Amino acid sequence: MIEDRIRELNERLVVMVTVARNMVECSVRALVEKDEDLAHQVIERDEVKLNQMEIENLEDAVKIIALYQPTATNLRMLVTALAVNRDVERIGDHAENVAGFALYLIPRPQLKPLIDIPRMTEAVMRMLDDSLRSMLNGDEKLAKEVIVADSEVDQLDRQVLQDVIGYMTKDPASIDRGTRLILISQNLERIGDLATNIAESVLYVTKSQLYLHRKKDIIRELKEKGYK
Amino acid sequence: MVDAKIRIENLNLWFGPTQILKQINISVTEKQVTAIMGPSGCGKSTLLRTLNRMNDLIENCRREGKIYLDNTDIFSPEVDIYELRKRVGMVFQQPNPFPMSVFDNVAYGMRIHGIHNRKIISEHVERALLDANLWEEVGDKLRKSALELSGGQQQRLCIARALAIQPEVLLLDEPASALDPISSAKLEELIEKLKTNYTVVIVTHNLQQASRVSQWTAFMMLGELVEFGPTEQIFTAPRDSRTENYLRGKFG
Amino acid sequence: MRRFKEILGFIVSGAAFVVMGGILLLIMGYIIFRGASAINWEFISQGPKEGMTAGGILPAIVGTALLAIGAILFSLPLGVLSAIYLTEYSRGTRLKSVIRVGVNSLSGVPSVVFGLFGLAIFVKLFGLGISVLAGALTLGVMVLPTIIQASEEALLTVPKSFREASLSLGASRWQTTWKVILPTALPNILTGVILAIGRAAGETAPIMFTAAAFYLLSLPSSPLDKVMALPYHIYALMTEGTHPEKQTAIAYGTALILLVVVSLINAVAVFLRIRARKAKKW
Repeated sequence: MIEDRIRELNERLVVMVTVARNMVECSVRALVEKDEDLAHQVIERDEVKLNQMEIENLEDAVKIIALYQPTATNLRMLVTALAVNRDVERIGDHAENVAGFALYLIPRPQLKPLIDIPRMTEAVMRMLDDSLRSMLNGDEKLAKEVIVADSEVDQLDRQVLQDVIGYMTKDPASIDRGTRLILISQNLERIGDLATNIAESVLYVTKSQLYLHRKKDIIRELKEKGYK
Repeated sequence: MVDAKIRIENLNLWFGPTQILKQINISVTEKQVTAIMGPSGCGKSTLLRTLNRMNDLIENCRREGKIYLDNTDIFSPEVDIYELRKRVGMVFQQPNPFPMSVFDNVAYGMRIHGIHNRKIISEHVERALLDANLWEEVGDKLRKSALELSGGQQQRLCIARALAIQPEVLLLDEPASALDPISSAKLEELIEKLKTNYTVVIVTHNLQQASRVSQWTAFMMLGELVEFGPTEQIFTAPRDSRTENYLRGKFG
Repeated sequence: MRRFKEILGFIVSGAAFVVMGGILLLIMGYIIFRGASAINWEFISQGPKEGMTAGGILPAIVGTALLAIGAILFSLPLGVLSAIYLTEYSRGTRLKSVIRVGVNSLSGVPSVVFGLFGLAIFVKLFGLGISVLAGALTLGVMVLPTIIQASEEALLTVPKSFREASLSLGASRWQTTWKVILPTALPNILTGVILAIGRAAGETAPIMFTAAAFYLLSLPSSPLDKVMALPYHIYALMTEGTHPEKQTAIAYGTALILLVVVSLINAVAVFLRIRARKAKKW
């Protein structure tokens, strides 16, 4: 009964994360391969689908709470499902933003070779994949690794900022394109944060403690245990 | 459009001068669970007992309105009340197995309706006990006295006894209120299973049980039907403020 | 203070029990003492000889047994069915109260009145003459209130929930009564039967004019024959006997046998009750 319904909800969330992940990949690929159609797809088709899923999952979660009064693990799973639901929708929003900026940049001359942004994208997608897998398997270790991986993304973001500011200072005509690049990087960095949130939710369910915003502790913990 | 197994139309009921049920209109959907909930004394048990005409046994009981079982008014003179009770079975709040063996308890219904073939009875007893999730526990002890079973087992025995005559509707009057939480949970599992084959109407004052188990919920107060609708809707966004207050525990 | 009352209550009730037990033992002891001398195999296996001064009382034993059993055969079905009617079927309370008052009054009527009644109705009106049948019927009428009262009690003790369960399965009132209520009430009904047997076997007055004879040569061969009976035999020996010394001993012996016979019939009823109780424990 309740277990079945929670399981179905989780399955839908997994699909949702997959959709969001693909949106991220597609929006950056659209930029790299200068594929305007792909960018449009992200904005029009995928974003709509994601929003619909968010609404459906929210309504379902509310019904489950009302009808089944979940307790213990079930309760934590439901609460995190609600949080993940919101976060994934936001990932979609950010991916949509990236696609929008890609549409601006594609017809215009490239400001600089894209190195960091694809690297960030790769890292972020790995984080999303890992957080998805840790959701499916309740894999604590994997979740912690996701949280730690965010540092790399943050660093890359700072690098992009520095680089692009450099270009924009030398050539003020490139400011319009530069800012878009910075914004893309920023959105990707936020997506990384949201992936971290998902991983923190997984930890809440498996360890029944809140692991919110404890990146430093986790880094230390993993270093002690000899990972990384 | 799913069929209504039972349609209660403008039902009013009095015990002597007191009106117990006021203008009740409910449509019970076939092969689903309909819960009737409300504070003590709201008339929910009385309503349930009207569905198999057990209220006929009470003196000074006056009734207006109709109740259709598959499009036939159960109060019309052509209706054979013994047949009605065969089609509409009932399980009571306090388990009440007869002081006989488990086998004889379950076989009782068949015997009073004229079935005496031992083979047929045996088969139906086994099937009923399986349907009631009791076969595993008593299958090898059918000759044991029913009174030696635990409370939860006795209640499931009463369900098996009702199921043995293959009713179409099962009326449950607060079936879990006399049971411990584990037996109560087992009973809920059983009800989930039963709705595949039977239409179930359950009276309960346990809100959580009603929400877990039913697809339709009726909320009654002081003899009136305050609200009736899909359980999901009643529990997430009730339309009547009285329902809302009841769900939030403000009274009853 | 409360503790004192507690002890006092215990002592008083204990003393009452001892007194009662003592009286019981006294009576039985005295009868055994006076009657034991008359008991031998011949006593219980043969008829009386030599003008009631020798021989046995077999006919009286047989007669008493027949009368008691006959009384039960008559009153049990009638009494139980009446009780069923009173508890299960009759709706209005007015009629029920009237019947109940009637039944209660009947149980207070002196047994000799029943004897007259039996004489007038069974012996004369029905033309049965002085016979086992008339005597059994008279005794049956006498114990009828006992059976009705015990049965009614027994039926009322059966929980209402059994009736509800049975009816909700589609049983008729009669099926419910016959298949559930009666079997469950049976042990307590049998208690009433035990009491009734005791009375029927032991009463002298009702059978004096309706069944009993003092001296018969043979055992009864038909329901219309007269019979000897143990209680009557005691009475007759002590009042009309021709040889008081010998016959007094015989009288006590008869009393002892009467006690034994009643006890035996009761034992059977108790055995049946225990069997019934075991199956219906609730």
